[in-house]
Amino acid sequence: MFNTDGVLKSLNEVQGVHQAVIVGRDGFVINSVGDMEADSVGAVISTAIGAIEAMGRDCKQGTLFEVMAEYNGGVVIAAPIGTDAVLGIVADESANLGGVRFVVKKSMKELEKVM
Amino acid sequence: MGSHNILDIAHVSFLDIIRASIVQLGAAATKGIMIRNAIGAAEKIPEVAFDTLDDFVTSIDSAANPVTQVEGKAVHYGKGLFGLPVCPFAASISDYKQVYGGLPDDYHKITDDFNREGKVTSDLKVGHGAGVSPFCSVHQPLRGALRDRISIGGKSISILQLGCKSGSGEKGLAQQWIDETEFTVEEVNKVLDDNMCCYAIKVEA
Repeated sequence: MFNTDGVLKSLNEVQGVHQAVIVGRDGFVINSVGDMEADSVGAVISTAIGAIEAMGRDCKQGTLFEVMAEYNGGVVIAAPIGTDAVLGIVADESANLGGVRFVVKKSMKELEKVM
Repeated sequence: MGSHNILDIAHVSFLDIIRASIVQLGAAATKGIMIRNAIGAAEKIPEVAFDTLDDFVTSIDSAANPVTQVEGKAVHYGKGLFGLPVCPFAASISDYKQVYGGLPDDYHKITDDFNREGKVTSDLKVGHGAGVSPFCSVHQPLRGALRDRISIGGKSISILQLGCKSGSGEKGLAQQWIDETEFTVEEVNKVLDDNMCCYAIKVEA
């Protein structure tokens, strides 16, 4: 197991965040912290990010850094970690989006080092 | 092509959906979907308890064996070493080739990803070199996951994918899983000479 516990824990401590998960590109969970069904979250995040990357590729937009989907109940953020994994964050509507994205951006550097 | 030159369009559609998924979601995500579907299918198979490995082997002939029910009749070479003469996806591949002349170029990406070190493939003891086509990402995890549906002598079992052979005759071996058995690479190769798939069943202590 990679040493990602601390990063995921700090992400999960942000106001409104319910799940912080690292999944392989195949959608199988590598590590997760939160109160949701991590396997289900991981599976949909891996397929979603694959589709979003294909959209960027076909629209000639280059490499994906991050994707954020807003819903009436909250947000889902996903960001590739290198070529083999994806970070996913699920937060409710009480979350400070700027705060969540700041922590995600800060965490990505640490995750890319340990993955 | 099926009997009377009737093409099974379900086969062709299935293979086309996989190709589209590789393009739209990526090979790894597609492989993950295939594996999760396979595990889900295995979980729907009723549990079966065999008294001995011989009983397990005997049940192959009557197709009362859960493994036989999902892949067809395997041949037992003794001590839990099995060969499967016909790949369950052979008809699908054949039908697709009848239409398009060959499998899609992108298919190798799934095979490559399936053979990489991975959490779920390590757990199920599949892949790791034993994948020779994208369909191994369905077949091998499906059979591997059946370990949770089968007991022998009241004990749990493990099912190890030792090797596989493509339609063109190319063999893929999983050295890591062969090393966990009493069988040699030569024995596995010999089984694959007459079969498309080679696996071992171990009764846990």
